[in-house]
Amino acid sequence: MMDSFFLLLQGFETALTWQNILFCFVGVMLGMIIGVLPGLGPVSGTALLIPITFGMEPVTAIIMLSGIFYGSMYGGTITSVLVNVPGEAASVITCIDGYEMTKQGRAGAALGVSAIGSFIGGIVAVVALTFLGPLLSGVALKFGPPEFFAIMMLGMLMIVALMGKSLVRGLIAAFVGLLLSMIGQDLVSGEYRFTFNSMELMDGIDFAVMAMGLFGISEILLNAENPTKIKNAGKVKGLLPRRDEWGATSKAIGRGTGIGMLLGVIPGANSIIASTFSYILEKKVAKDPSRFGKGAIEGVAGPETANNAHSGAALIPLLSLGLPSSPTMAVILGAFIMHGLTPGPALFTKNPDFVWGLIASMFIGNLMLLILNLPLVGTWAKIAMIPYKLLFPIILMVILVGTYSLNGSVWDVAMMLFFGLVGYVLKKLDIPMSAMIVTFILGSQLESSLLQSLSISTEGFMIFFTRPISAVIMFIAITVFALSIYSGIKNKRGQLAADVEM
Amino acid sequence: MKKLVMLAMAMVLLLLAACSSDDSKAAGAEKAIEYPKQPIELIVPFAPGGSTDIGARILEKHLSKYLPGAQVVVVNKPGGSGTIAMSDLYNSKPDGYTLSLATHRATAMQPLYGKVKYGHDSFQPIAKVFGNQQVLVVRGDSQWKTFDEWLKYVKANPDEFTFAVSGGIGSGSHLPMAELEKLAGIKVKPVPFEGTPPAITALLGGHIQGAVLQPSDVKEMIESGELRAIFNAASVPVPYFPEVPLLIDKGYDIAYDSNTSLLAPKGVPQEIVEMLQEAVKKTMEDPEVIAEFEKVNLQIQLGDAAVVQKELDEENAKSKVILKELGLIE
Repeated sequence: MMDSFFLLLQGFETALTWQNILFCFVGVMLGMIIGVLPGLGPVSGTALLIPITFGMEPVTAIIMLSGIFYGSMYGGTITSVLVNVPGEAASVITCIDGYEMTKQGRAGAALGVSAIGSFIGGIVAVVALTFLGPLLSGVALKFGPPEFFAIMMLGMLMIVALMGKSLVRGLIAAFVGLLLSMIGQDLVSGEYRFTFNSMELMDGIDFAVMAMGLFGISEILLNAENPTKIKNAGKVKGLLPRRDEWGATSKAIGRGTGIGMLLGVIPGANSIIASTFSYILEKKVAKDPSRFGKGAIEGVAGPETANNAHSGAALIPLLSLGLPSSPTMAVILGAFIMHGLTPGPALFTKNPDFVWGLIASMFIGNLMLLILNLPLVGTWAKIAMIPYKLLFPIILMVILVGTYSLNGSVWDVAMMLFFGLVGYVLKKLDIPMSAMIVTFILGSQLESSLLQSLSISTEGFMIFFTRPISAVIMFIAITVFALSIYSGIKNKRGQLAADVEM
Repeated sequence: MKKLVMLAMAMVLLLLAACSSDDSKAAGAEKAIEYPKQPIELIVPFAPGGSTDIGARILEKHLSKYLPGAQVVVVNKPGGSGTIAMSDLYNSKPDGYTLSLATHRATAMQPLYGKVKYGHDSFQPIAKVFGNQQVLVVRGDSQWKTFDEWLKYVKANPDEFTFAVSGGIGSGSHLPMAELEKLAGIKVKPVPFEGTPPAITALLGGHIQGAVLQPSDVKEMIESGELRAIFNAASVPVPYFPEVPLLIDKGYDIAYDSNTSLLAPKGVPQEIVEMLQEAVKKTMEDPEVIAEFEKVNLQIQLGDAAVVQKELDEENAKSKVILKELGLIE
């Protein structure tokens, strides 16, 4: 523990050379811009910039690339909150309450709380990386397919909380999401499902493409139809939450940090899952869940904290095991290899300057992002004051270009527009999109981990209950589900009684 | 501006060539292959950061040394196990400005599923650039030290040994084991994973007992003793682990290489093909390039167009048989 502390101090020596500070700044700044631009996410951002790091020192290169990664988590929030277009996939869930806050003229508070939450989540994760890295990575390996399935199951059973007023509508949304997640090649049989012989559908639907359509385009359509309905956001009122929201907000940030870190350490759970879980949990523990979807500040603070904590913690499996936990981490792993470094336990002993320099740079980078973000919040929030007739064409253009830039594919653009229409219809029918998105995210992993577990298992479905970690998670999941049904029945009785009285 | 001048010059030359004697026609033709005049797009069928992408970026950096004026731009078109990129290449203009660094698997095996327009013989190979193998790895602390020990175990315990297949059933990493099951009369349980990293994670965590993957992905882990290689399913030994036994040497006629070649669409002018072949060969023989490939664990395996086409034909024929047996194609 003390050793880690001294090594970290030595790391600061590396990180505080002028070129490392400069490239750390360049990295986080670029990351923020990449996060703000819809479509262009951290995966393509880091990949695009790898070639320019060829001439750099390895440590400088990786400091910059990691800066892009966690910087984009800060930036992704901005468009989600202001114009309902997720800047990158992990911020999709922020759209739900963030944009509602903007409509109420509280864009400043939403962005302010995200910046603070992101900072806390990021720093705590880096501290964990410093002191508990190797320890946590050992725990991470205990999570095999059955444990993964149990986590996904927990998430699935908790989405009842996202179903809104009507259970039927919620179930429709959940099933549509699941169905969409089935598109593509089935891992186990190798068969292609629901692809209609289209090559583009072989890999399934890209979440970023779907989210940009569902949120961004549908919002534009709704506004085009009824431009007077949403009043202009008016003045930006304050960068901080109201006094009565402080308690709930700080708790949401704390929970978001925990979830983000936990899922960051487990290889395979990406930052989208982290922010989604945080949102579900916030809604579940809230005293008044009906505020969610109408501008609940916890619905912004929790997920935004979670995705930053995730991005810090995701470096733990990469550095200590050499295993990338998400697509962006895979790109950064590629950068490591190009610079002749092999992540893994040996890295800590062979290149301590490098490892600790990188960790120290993340403290500096997160601080830079906070300093950059807080004063800028007011400026960003003014975007919400641009008249819609000017703002929407710009958003439309940015979404179109952003979607194309993902894979350079016109198919993606068409798909995105299609989901725009779907989103419009869903909003008209009052079907909760959040339930659909969550089942879509969890669906494919739920299925693959189930099938993997069953191939490993010698005792069929019992594998989920005979392994301790998965048994505990399954138990929690079943309890949560049972409680939701119980309270659902109780509420229904209440409603029926009310009907009779009328 | 430069482009316009070039274009004008080309037009004039063409006109001259059209209305003059045989002599100047020849001169015109020579001028017409002025190549490259614009950036060359190098399609990588996989996501950035993977081994194909890393290799492509090294070529991007160095090819211009031996092909004056060439500016190579890597374009990642991941998806559909490489078929999206290959279809793009198939549909592109055969002018030498669109090339792809393609795996033989995407080119020769994927068409068997009948979902794509191209076939294993629809491309103009430029050169084979790098090769890789597939090995079965188990944990370093497991009971199997050698191939024979492992074989004895799986023969005595059918349906017990679980191994990760990255990319799913019927993918390239499944086929060698499927063939071994048939030839050696063993039964093992494949567990499909989305990619190599999750497969390694599950193996290290002890959730599965083995994994079939490319040795370059686990080189350090094998060196450190965390993992152990049991057999090599390729036709050539792994250069840095020559002691890992080949299945062919053990008496099983199984050889699945994971080679990568530079391909162009069919119909590229022969002169351009030759220029590219020459340039690629020289680039791959450059000591600086060799050092860079070594640093990223990629093995240079140079081969000419005929070699590439032969390997593609063989892989196509072999995969057809085994995929039919697995019931994945008709």
